[in-house]
Amino acid sequence: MTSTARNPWLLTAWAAGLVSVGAIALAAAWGGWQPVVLLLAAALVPILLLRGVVALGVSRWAATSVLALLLVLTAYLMSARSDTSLRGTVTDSVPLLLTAPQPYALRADLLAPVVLLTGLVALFAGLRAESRTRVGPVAAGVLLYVAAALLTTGRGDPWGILAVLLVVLAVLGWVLLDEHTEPSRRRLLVAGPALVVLVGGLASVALVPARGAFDPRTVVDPPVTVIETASPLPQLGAWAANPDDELLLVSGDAVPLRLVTLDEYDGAQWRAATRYAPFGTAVDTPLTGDRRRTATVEVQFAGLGGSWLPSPGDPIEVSEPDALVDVTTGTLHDPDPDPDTRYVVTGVADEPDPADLVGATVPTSGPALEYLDQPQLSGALAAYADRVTPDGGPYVRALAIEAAVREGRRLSPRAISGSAFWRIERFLLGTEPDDQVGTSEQFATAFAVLARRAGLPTRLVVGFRPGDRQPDGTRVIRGRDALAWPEVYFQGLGWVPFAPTPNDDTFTQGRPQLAEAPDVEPAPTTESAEPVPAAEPPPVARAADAGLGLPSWVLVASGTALVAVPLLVLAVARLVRSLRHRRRGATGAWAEVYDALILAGEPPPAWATAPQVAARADQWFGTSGATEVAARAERAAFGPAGTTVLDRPAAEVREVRRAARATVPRWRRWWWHLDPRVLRR
Amino acid sequence: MPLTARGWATLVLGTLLVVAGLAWHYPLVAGLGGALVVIVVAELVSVLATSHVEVHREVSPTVVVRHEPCTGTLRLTGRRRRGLVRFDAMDEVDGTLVPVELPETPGATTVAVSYPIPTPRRGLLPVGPVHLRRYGLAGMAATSTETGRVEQVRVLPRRIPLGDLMPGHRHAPAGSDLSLEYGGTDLVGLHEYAMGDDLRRLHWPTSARTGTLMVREDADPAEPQVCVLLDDRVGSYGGPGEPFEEAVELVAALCRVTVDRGYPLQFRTVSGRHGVHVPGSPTRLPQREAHDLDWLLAEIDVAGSGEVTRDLPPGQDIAVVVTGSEADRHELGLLLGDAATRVVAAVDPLPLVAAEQRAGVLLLRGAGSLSLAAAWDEAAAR
Repeated sequence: MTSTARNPWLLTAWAAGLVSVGAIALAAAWGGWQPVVLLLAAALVPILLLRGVVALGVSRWAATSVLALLLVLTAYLMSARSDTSLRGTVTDSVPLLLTAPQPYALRADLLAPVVLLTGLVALFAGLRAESRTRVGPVAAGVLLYVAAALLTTGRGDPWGILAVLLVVLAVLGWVLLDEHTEPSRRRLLVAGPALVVLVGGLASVALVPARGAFDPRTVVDPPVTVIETASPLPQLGAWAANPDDELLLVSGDAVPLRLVTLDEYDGAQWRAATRYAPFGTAVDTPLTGDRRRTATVEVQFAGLGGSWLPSPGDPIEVSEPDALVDVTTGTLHDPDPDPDTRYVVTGVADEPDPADLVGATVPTSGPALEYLDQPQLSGALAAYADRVTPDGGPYVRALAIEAAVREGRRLSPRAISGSAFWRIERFLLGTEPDDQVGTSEQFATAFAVLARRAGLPTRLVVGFRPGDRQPDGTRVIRGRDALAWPEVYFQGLGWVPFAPTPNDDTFTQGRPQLAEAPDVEPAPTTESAEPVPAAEPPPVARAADAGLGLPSWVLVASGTALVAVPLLVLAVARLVRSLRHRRRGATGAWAEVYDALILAGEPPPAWATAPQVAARADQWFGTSGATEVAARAERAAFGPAGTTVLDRPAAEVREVRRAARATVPRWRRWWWHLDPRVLRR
Repeated sequence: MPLTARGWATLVLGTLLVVAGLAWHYPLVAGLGGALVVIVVAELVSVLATSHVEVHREVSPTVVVRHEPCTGTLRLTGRRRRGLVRFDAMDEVDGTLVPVELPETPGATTVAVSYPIPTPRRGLLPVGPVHLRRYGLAGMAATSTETGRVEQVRVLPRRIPLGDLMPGHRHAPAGSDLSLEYGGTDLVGLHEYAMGDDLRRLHWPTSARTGTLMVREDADPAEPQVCVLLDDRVGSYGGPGEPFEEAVELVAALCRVTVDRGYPLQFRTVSGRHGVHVPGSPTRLPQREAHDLDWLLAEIDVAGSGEVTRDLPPGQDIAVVVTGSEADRHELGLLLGDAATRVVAAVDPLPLVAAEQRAGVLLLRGAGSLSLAAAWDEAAAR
């Protein structure tokens, strides 16, 4: 009789293991190995110290109090390096953790509260390790695991390995660490299969896709900075007037750069985004399409100035540490601008398949409707808008508006700035010689006003064309590359740029060929910007399509079929064999008994005669029917012609078959009707 | 619900995790909680669904001297571990549970397990029922059922060694309650010769008359008439330990020696609640009354009141009263009447003097029955 003594060190090791799993889960919020080591130390050191001190005879609660104080002291020392006080670190820890960009930086003010939490939880686990219920350490590990799930929005443990470890450790502790008279090996033998089932279930849960996982960041307001900055639209004229001024030096993917995205139009002017949050913390989800491209550029400011940072799309990574971002528009802002700023930025932009554009629709509900807001148009403008907008799909309408805006109007850097209604009305409908002249500001605004009138969600982007390629591979963006262009949001496709500005083919390449292309007659311009060198096809990485492009039920169904079809084939083969035996009468009955012997794992020797085999089977299974079946089969097979043919001994066959099947272990019986072993005979 | 504390705690933890995981759409947190809940539910179901185990229990002997071995034998049919569930057996002896070490039985066979039943106190000891405790593998759920009947074990007072009694001085003629001082031996009866009788004691005249060998039954005038009094008043006993138990043990030893020798014995309690007269047995065969006395001493307990009854028959050779340290010894000495040897034995936790003679009464003191018995032997040998 063996019994596992309640060894306190063993219990401590168990509790330490559980807390360590939780600590590893927490460290996933940082990534890298240093936080893992640090948090493991924060979990293991207090628990082992507690055990050691208690083993020396010190009272448990005194030791815990002292160790808790030591932990607080450690956290204080950690936070002393950062600017905040310990109290500030502790009280602000949750908002700080929930608003800091992810993955977290290795910063003391971010690590200190987590180290403190881990240490205190480890102390609790160590304190409760020797209690009879043995739930305390499990609860401690689970607490850290849940905290990690909250910090990482449930993505810290993608394969469920840590959850499985927690369950396995907890069950092993419960099964093995209690005092029992039963040998541990026997208990493990019982616990093992149960654990395998549990782990399998948990692993299958890990495959469940988490949709709409709760993000605690939505509860905490990120530190949003409201920055009121003048719209850069008036500058377009200045840039166009000095076309050779170098604005930016760029290397990397040759894609248009966005400076500012303007989404609010109040009839007088466009407004830029005002809510900026530190990079990686914002919780808003921008309107995007399904197919997007990623581009990375390195930008060096030359003469641009200002506090906006150009980006090739919605930024996902930027090397400028204190950059702020407005997630809904993807505008980057640098709070303390430097005339020589140099940074690397990666951005994603919508790049829909041109083939999908023609049939594209615009959303009729949701946040995209905000891009239709504008004051009532004047009668003349409204009439013009209705005249140039044909019936047709949204994309066709957008193209028609683009052509109508471009047609017959002149691009001039000296045009009057402004995007108020009167300016647009004069730009579109004016009859004076200089009326239908504008910068790209007026072209883009006119398009936006008409498109919003036509029910297309539209916004304005101020940005730059890819620029001139230099011999060394970098590109120079000059004043003539500055441009404002409108973008229309299509359902599922994202923001699609249009080019209402004359002599601008930045966005017209790769457009689908319409059957009846609207008449586009570029207005002759004398002072327009020089033809932009044809932008080479952008060497950008396309975002990989999700998975193999197959819906998950197809995978599941094919997997099921892969298993089910062979089983079905086996079952049919066995059924046919049984039916054939039934038709053969007494000899078929004997064949069925013979099959039962093989299926029961007792194949009769080849030399044995039927009565011998039957006697052995009867003895083995405790039946009496096999002998009778054998006798009738012999009689039917070898009896002289004219022997009375007896009935098929169905009851005996059933008896022997049932007895044979009962000898097979219960968990293997379902295989009885599928077993292919008899088919070889 | 037969959930243990661990089961409840785990269930609460698991439910919280499931709720949090579902509310927050964290499948793994919900899965973790689900696994914990599944463990608890699986154990609960298997504990509740376990089939019955047959238990039969025997106790032998049913009359046992205190602290002497008494054995229970448990026969059970059924598998000890069935899936997640295993069971333990415990016997309830006088309100406390005595674990029974069951062997691991792989199959559904009947096994018999012997286990010691403790006999910690004198009196009637209820043994049973047998408690069968089923518990899950991880200790989440456990049920306990009681089975089998309750048996009574009579625990006699501890046997302490006692040498001999003081000699008597007079004896009572047959048919008379009076005891007078005589010398020599006295024929008190005859019986037919049986194997083992001393041939020298054949009574030849009667043998000749009847034709069968008859043997004399002589009474020894030195055979004492013994009277043992037990002070069963609560107020008489004080001090640590169990002084009344010690007194009962000494009384039991005195009575045992008296009966073994075949002397006539008067047993009384001071309060007068109990009294047994065991007549002398010249053949030294045990009398029926001796048996009654044994059982009485097994169950006797202190009485509440302090009343003293003086109904001691006269003409005793040896009169002993066994009492505690708090009793009035002079009053008890007067109880002993005119017996030739009068002894007061007091269980005194801190005896200053082991034995003293005071006004014709021998006063013995001892911390326990053993020291009192030793003092008695010393006094008897003198």
